[in-house]
Amino acid sequence: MAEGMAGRQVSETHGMYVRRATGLVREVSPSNALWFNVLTAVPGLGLGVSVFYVFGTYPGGHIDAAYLLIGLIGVAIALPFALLSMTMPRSGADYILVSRSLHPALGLASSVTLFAAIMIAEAFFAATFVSVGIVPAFTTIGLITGHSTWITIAADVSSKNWTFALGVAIAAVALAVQALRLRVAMRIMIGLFFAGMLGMLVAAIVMAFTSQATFAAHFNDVAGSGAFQKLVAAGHNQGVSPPGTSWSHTVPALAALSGFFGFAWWSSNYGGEIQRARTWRTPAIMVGSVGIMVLIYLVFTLAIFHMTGTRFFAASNALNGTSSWPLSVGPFWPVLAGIGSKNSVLTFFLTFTFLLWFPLVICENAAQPTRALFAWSFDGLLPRQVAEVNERIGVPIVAIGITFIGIVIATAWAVYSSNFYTVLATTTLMLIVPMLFVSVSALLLPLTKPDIWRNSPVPGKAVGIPIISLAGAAGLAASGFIFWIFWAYPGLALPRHNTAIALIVLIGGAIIAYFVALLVQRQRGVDISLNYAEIPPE
Amino acid sequence: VRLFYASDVHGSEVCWRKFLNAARFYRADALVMGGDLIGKAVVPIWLSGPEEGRVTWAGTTTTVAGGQAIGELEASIRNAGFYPARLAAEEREGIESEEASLVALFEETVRREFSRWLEIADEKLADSGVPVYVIAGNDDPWFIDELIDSSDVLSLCDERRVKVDGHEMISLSYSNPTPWQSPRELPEGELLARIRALADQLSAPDTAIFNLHVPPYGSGLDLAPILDEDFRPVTHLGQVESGPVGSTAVRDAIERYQPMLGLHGHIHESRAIATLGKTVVINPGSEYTSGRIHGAVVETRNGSLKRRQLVVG
Repeated sequence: MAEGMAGRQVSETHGMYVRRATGLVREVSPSNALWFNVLTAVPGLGLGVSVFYVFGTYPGGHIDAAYLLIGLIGVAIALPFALLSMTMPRSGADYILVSRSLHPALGLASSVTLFAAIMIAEAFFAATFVSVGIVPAFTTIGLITGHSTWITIAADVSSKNWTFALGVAIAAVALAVQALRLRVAMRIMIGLFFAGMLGMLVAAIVMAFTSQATFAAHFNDVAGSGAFQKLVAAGHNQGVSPPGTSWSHTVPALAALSGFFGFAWWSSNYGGEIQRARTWRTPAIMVGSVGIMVLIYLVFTLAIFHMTGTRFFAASNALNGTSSWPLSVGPFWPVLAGIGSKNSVLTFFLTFTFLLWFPLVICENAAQPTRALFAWSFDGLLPRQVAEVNERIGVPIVAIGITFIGIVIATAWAVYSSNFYTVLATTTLMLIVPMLFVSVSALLLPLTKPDIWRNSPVPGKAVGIPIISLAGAAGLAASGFIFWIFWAYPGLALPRHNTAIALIVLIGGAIIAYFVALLVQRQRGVDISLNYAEIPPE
Repeated sequence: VRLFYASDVHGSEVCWRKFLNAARFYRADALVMGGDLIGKAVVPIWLSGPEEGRVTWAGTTTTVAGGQAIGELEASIRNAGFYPARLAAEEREGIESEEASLVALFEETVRREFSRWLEIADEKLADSGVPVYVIAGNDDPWFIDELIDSSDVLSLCDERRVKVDGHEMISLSYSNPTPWQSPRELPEGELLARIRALADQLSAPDTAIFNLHVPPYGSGLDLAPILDEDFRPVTHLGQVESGPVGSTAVRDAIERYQPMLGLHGHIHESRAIATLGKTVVINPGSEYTSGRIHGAVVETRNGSLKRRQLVVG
């Protein structure tokens, strides 16, 4: 209730004559939605993982071109989400979009697959908070300040029990943020994002103003005399190609980057809560998000290249983990920037802001499972209690609690079991499943739900084809291409057999679960198929 | 008996059509509309010729030419919950120069467009035998009641006790006071008096239906952002404050009479089912601008409620 006018009964507003009447307030502003989408690129971790990982496995790729190409792919993936969200501005992302336009069982299949992937990814980030976050951070501080206590602490917390305890603690903090009012939670997430980005900005400035010779000298101070030159020579001797020399190695980089650039549609999880969601602002927000992601990654990568030189950079990634790499910590960007600055305070600041990315990514990812549980419950697929919203803060508190318990169990699995990382590799394809489903939904909407399409804000055609179908085709081509890369490039470590089984179990299981829920609820006198049915207006 | 209940369609013609079709779609024996039928804005199409005009719609100003293009534009405006009005360009200054002209234009447009809705209802349900119980809501002007009452298909039931297949139903279009000073608002005391006057006519309150536009206070059906005097959401420490804005009178009446069912609307964003003592209270919410109608399917058997389900069609 808002949007009214005081005093006058009728007045002129934006070319319309508007009478005094009650209205509706949506909580999320377009700018918040934009930054919410940008933070799915989690640059702090993306640049720590994707750029390094890709150079280690497929050296020589054109990383700058890869950013631009993945930007186009990210836009193509986001467009079907955007146009369907304009048509059906409701919270629940792929579940709502697919179930309302294709079939509810397929909506559930899409959503369950994404849910499983996100829960595993959440456990991964919680479990690696220590190994990729705290340990490198503390080790770097120890190396730069010369205080070995930091390195000792880093070694101590590397134990499985500490890893589990700290992982659960950071997940608890992240889920506590999700349990706040949406607007507050979003502000905290965006606040964390900008704090993390401030660290990256400082790092980028350090790297941009540190010459290669200075960096080499600092590196040798930390890693031993001539360590920089030895590493570059070792890379050369082992045939490690510097970046920008191989187009065939650029293709797998796209797949690795898709995990960070393919989610510019994440705000559709809150589709019903975003202001002016039925306007072209929705796709503009998503396209704008991709543009900002590309810019951040590009500028930061160029800054790293400027400081370290491309040959050192390629060698450090290819030889990390071998005897040729002279440090006890991997070549993550805070490590390199800290060495470049060789300043204790600055290193402390860079590593601290780097750690902020972990609660941020867990919190931002948790939007999907909590909203999905809520939506399934609301549609009668889960007990009604799951959708209970706390009256005071307006948050689905039960759904958040279930999500947290799931993350704790998955984190225990990740820390204490040896087969977790085999399963983790399968999630890369699971994450693409909702993109494929939503693309097909947009492609077929004019056929499957012609009334919804005609009444949508995008009923137009281009070259005789509905615009929404064109967006669906583009999304299908883009997400299908990424799917193919993962499947075709063995270096991306996808266990094909396990992945095929996982997809069949998840998609098939969800379809069966829908029909079981349909039968169970029918016996109670509730027809859940009515939740998805469109009444013909004519 | 199976009922389909919806509310707050606010001028969306596609939602009105879906409401009327809901009887067949959900195999409902009766339809109940809980108020706020009228749209909030008139979109003028300034005609420079018989089939050419300028319009500002969805944030852009364009020229539309040709009868078919204007017709499609009008349909799109109607489905979004607004009223198109073809006006001569030279009338513009006169209309906008004084509020009385705007008010007159609004009433004339609403009457014309609502008459279309009555014709649509006639076409769809004249021979169906499905009763359609309709009340206005706090946002609706009073002249709407005459139009509803003139229909052969719709049954105006505001401030009346009617029988819905064995269940008595009382209805009220008023709300408690809102910041907008809409046409039908009453202080809580007067609201309670009116509800009690109706409820006292019931022979079996425990099997009755209370069709009251405004939801009961603090029931979970009435959560909305708190607004300041400029209609802006009140924020505290950066968060929008929300709270119950329903009617204490409605809650008092439900707790006192304990009817079988309470049907409510008014707060679009507070879609929920709850219980107050023995009474099940429902607010299906509204998203009329999306062209999707939010509703509730309720089924009774042997005088008690057997099924209640929120649906979006």
